[in-house]
Amino acid sequence: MRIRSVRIDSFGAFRNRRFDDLDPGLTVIYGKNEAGKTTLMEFIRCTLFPSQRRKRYPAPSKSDSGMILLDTDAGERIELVRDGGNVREADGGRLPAEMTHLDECTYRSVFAMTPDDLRDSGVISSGDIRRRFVIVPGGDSIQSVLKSIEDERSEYMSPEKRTGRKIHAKISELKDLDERIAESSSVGTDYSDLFARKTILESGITELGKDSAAYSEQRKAANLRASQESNVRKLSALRDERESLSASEAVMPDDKGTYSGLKTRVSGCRKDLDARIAIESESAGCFSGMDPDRFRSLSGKIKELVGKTGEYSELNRRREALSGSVRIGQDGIAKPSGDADDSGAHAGSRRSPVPFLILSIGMAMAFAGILAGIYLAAAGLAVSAVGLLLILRKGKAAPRASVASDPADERIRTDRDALADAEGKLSSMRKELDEVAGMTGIPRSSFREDVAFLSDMAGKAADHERVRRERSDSERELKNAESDLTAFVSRFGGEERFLELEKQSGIRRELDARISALEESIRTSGYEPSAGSPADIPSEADMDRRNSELSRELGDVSSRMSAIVNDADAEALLDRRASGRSELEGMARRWAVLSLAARIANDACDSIYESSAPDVVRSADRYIGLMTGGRYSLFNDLRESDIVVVSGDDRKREDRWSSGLGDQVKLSLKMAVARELSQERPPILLDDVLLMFDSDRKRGACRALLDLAEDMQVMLFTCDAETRDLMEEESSGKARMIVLDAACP
Amino acid sequence: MGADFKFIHCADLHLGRRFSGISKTDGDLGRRLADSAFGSFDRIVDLALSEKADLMVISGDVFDEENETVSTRFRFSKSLERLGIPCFIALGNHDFKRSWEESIPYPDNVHVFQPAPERILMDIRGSPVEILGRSFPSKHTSENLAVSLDGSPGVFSVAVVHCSLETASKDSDYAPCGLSDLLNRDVEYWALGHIHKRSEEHRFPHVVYPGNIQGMDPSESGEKGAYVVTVSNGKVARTDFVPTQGILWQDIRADISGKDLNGLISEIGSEARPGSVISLMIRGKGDLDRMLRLDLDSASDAISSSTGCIVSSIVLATSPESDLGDLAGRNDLISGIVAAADRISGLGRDELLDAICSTKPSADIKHIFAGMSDEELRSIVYDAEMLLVERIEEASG
Repeated sequence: MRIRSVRIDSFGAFRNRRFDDLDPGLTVIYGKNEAGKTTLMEFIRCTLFPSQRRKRYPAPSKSDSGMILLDTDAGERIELVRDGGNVREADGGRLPAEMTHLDECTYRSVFAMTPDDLRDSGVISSGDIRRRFVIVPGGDSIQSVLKSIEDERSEYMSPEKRTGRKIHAKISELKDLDERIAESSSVGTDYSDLFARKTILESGITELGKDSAAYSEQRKAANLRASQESNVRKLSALRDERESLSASEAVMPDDKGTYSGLKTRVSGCRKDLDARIAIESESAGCFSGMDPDRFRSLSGKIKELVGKTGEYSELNRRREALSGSVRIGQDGIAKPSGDADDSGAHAGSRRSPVPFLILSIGMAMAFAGILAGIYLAAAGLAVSAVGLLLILRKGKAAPRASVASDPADERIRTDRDALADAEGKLSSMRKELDEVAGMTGIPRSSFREDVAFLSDMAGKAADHERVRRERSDSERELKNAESDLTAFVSRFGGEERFLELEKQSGIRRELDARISALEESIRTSGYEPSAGSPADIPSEADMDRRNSELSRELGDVSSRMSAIVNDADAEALLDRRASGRSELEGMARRWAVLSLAARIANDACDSIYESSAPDVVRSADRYIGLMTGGRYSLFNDLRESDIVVVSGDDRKREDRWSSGLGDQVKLSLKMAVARELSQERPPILLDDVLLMFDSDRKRGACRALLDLAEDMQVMLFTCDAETRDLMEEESSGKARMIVLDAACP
Repeated sequence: MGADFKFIHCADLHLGRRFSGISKTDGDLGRRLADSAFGSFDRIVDLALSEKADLMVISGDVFDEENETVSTRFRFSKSLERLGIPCFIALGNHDFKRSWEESIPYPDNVHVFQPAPERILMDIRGSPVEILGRSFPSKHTSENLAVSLDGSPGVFSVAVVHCSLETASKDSDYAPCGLSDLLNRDVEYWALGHIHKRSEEHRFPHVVYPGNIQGMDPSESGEKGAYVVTVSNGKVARTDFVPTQGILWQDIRADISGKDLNGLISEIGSEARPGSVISLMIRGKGDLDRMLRLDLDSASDAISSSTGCIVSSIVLATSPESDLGDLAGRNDLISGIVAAADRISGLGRDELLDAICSTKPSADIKHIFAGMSDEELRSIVYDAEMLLVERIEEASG
């Protein structure tokens, strides 16, 4: 929006003044004091923005009238007509809405400023301008809100450090708790160790109880031993003696019994044998040098002869009778033999020698047979029988050859035959007897006596044989007994050694008996022979002490175990950790809410800064740069409560500004705000705002205003010729100059 | 005839774990809350005894790794002793360490699975029943533990394992497995643990997460407990969930629109169960917004004493009668703030976390925000925005 012309019909001291062809860029209205600069400016500003102020210069008057012709940026021409206190838009034109929305204070401070308005930064740092440009509406509280958030947030956690604030204090408390819990859960290992220790202690106490009982007994025994010292010494001596005895094989009582039995048996056998020998020798005396075996071997024959004794007597009597009869009938036919017993022998001498030879051979064979074997004996007997038969047949045949033919003769012959037969038989019997007698060597007598003698001797021979057998049995018995004895004692190295050992065993037994008698006597007194010395046995006090040590430790271990099981502390630590974690979570959440609130607020500020603040700030920055020849730039952020200028690395808040710098900054800001305040930018009217600037600053300000005039209409009212000249110079004469005549106020 | 028996399935006991998300620092409350998990397990033992269950399976995370004390172990061991029936435990990512096995041994009725697969054959009233299981080898494992468990045909098999089923969670560090991995393995009941929210993922075979036995923070709201599984003739006949929690967490949403404080309290009271711990999300427009924002603690106390509940947290998503949206149109700082808050609220999760934790020292608490849901994070932005608006308006008079 640009003012093309101003017509004042009546205002203050002005009457019917026109200001045409105002520059759409920069117009300098120069005039000395009282030339009417302020009146012109006031007319423009209170027409463009009707004022509610009562006090103003020039004072309001009902006759105030005039007109301002404006071109909007949209190309619309507006005629603002002032009539007294009213301003109206002529011909249906409308002042842009931005103007109507501005408050007077803002308008005056930003768009129509005097040096006083310039220095009033309140309009920028508070109120609507701040809300709209320096900060958005509602943003005026952002610093305090952000501060309160930051304050609360930093109670929870420092943005840089990990210490000192609630959250990290809680974290470290939890860490401590973790450590304490880890320590307390190492009681699990402790518990296992304690469990093992408890097992050891319990069995230790049980053992100790057993030992204690045993020691008590031993102690009693040891005391007895002390009191039975002499017995013990004797016992010890006996034990030594017993120990010194040969350790060779001992002869046991059984062995001794065996030995005695064997000895008795041997001597019994010997006695028996002696008796048998005496009996045998007595028995042998009956045979007067004859061989008893002959009688025994001929006992059969002898029995036969005994059996024939009766026949022999009968035959002898017959022969006697027949010999008498024969001698009466025929003397001399048969000469009677003197003796009946001899007749047989005599008769034999007349017989053929062959049968006798055969008989002898047979007998010899029979005898040899007895010696050599039963077959030969049988053969021998057979041969003898043949011989005997032949002899007997010859004896019969002879009488038969001499048989008489007459009856007397016949009777004589018959008797003779009978006699011959009797004699034959007798002779045969005698021969048998002779043979037996010859073989046995008996002294001879009559047939009957010889046979009786033979029979007697045969009986004795049988007895003798029995005696001899018994003697032989006794001999064998003795031999067996002796060999048993020898075998027995040989185990001990012979009888002599046995006897020696037996003697030693006896001594040992005696010692053992004495030792055991002594032990028994000591034992019955309650003394334990194997007991040690009382000094070697732990004392009762020792045992009690050890027991109480173990019991104390067991008690300690048990209570530590039960303390672990019932460890309220460990549980309490876990509870504390859990509630600590909950607290930490609560804190963390609150901190997160605060952090995000700060983040959101900053994001909002950034975005607002991005979308609107930059134009103001960028412009202000450019203007301050122009004004200060680039020495200063503007640093501004919604979150900064103060406006800060930067020179190099030096940031200066308002309190460090010189008044000149302060004026420059404020002018820059107001110019920037004026530029950005609305789309339809109203002209900016400056009433000698550079008056207090030094020459350099004036030049800078001129440059800045010329820059601003590129974008909006600037009307600089000044009474300062230097400013006018500088502006002319800086604008290279392009700035429109209006000089108010002093004569025309 | 197949097996006829009953068993109890529970998981994620987290004994000793302290509750989180309670802003009040009341020691007694903390103690009572910590005890409530024990109380819940004791009620599960009671349940096993009253139901004459034949066995119990526990699918991991009996203890809370960092809160396992001798005392918790001791107390659990005593409860198992009281249980008396065979009990099979597969360890999870929180209790894999097997502390104090020797010094505080479990009673003889308890079997803790090894990290290698194990198979235990039982005879229940003449029918064979097989319990398969394996424990977590370490805090994290990407191994699919479940696929190593195969049942025997013709035998009722229960597989006990702590794992992360893809349909329930995307955790790849906690023995991940797919539902298809669990089918056709001759297992009739997959007793799973790890996910704290109860769910029956499949039937025949049954694939069940019983959830944890006690809610531990505001996100674990609703009833918590154990399953009683009835097997009849070798088939799962019933699965009955029995709540045993000592303390109920409730999520309650309320609206201030057109209400004064009493109206708000009565709306909350209509949902809140006395004795429960409630986390509130309050929405709506109204004059109450200003009052709540000025003195939330007093409001919380009033809600608590009127409803008989513990108020664990209140998220305010309220606004004054005039909407922030209205403010956005204004050409002033408030509108700038609304626009800036909208921009921050629209940031991605990571950017938002960075926006919150932009200073070096704040790295120490970033994990707290990383653990929050998107909704919680946005509520911080909203609170920040409201705080600014209030303060600016207050300062501007």
